[in-house]
Amino acid sequence: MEADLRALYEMNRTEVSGDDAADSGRQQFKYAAVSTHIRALYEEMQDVQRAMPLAVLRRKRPHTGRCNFYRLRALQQFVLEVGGAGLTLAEQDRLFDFLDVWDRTKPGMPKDAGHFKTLRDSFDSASAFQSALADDLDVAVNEAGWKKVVLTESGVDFETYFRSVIEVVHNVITRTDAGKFRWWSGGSAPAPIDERRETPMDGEVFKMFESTMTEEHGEDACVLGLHVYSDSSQLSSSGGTFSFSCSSAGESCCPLSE
Amino acid sequence: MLVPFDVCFASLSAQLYPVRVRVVNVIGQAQWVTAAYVPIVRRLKERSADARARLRRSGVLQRTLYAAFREYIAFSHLGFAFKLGTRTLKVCPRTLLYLCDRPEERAVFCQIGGQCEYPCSVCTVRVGVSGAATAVNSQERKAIDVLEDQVEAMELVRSSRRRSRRVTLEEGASNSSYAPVFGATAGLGTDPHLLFHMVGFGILHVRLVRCIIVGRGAPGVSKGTNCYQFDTMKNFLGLQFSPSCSICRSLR
Repeated sequence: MEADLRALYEMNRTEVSGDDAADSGRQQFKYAAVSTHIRALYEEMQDVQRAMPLAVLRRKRPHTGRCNFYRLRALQQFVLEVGGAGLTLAEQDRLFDFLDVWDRTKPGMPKDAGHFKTLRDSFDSASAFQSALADDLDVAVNEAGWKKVVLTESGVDFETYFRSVIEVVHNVITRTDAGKFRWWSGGSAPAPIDERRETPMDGEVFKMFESTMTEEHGEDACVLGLHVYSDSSQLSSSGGTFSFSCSSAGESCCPLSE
Repeated sequence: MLVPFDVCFASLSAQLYPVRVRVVNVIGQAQWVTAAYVPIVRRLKERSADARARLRRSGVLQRTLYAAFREYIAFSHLGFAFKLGTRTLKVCPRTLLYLCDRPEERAVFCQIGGQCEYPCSVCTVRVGVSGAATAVNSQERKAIDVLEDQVEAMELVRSSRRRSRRVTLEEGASNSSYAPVFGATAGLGTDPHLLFHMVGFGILHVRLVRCIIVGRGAPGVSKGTNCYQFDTMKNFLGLQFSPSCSICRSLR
């Protein structure tokens, strides 16, 4: 290739001397064919010559070809193709852990009646497997108290999903370790209103509710504070980093000096 | 069986948005639990599409919130018993904070969004004077009065009667003809009537940061939560607010 190009240059170009050539500091040529001129321009950039192999090898002697039997090749193909782009490194970690369990080789894993059963022993087909997953999911969702209802607003139907907040709160209370749950702002009793602001329970509103409850129901009364979050709109692209005049709302906001 | 519920609804995420709750008595990392998924209401091609969409949005949000918070509201008034060792505690749940952005705030309070006569969710400043010095003297919205008007307007809508009265009630404080669900919760709709003080904005939602936060530092305030509760923010931070800015006023 290099020799071909050199021969081509010999035949097609002649060196030009003059002011332009002197100014540019590089040799200038006149070409007999424009195609050769184009090739010469790009050859001069040396892009192909500077190119390197795509993958930077992680070790000097890569252990290639270790997926050398049918099942491992199938696994490799699955890892590289699933979801269109294959699995991420984190997902590959999880898959390895899962396969460790599936191969019964994970240290300390429990043994039960199905320890030596295969997938086919339980599911005859992919659809049976899918149905089993969907059934478990449906039952779990119902057990968690999720419900759906169709709301009709101005002639349009909307399906909404919800579960009882008080049941959610009960679950949080019962599942949280006793050491991680504070019934009163002061630990074992309501704390007085002060300047401490370490947790949301230190807020004035919480303590006000607490003192009211204690007055009405005695020392065994306590307040369960709840924060609610919902957000139908998207974040602004600024990420909340610049101020603006709310002229659209008819309001003018004036930044304060620091 | 442990199921990640967000996975169940992942395919619907383009049409739904979640309502999450957190119990603040739990120490350490905040644990948000999803309690409901609200459908996203889009504007349709119809007459007065914007107004109808706003009404639908408010209605769907309030009805979903009520479905989720129905028992919670009852227990907020009555309390429930909880056995703690030898003691039986009387536990009363209270809503301390509703985190959302400004359009959502208007929907939660059942107020008209966008351009309206009373753009402030907390006080009754008129849009025409909201930037003026006189705005400082505007009165705060009184939860009990506003709720009475909204309940009356909602009754009129449901019975399709006296449209003119309903319109008057709506225009009185730029409210929509829906009653906010949280008005039924103890402490918000009852004494000490903190309904209009419960909303806080996530700090990422605040575009007027320079206007609101003067930079005195806030050690400890954001611990345990990523947001600032603005109704008590002044106490927390010793903030300065611009007297001529209605948004600042609404945050005081």
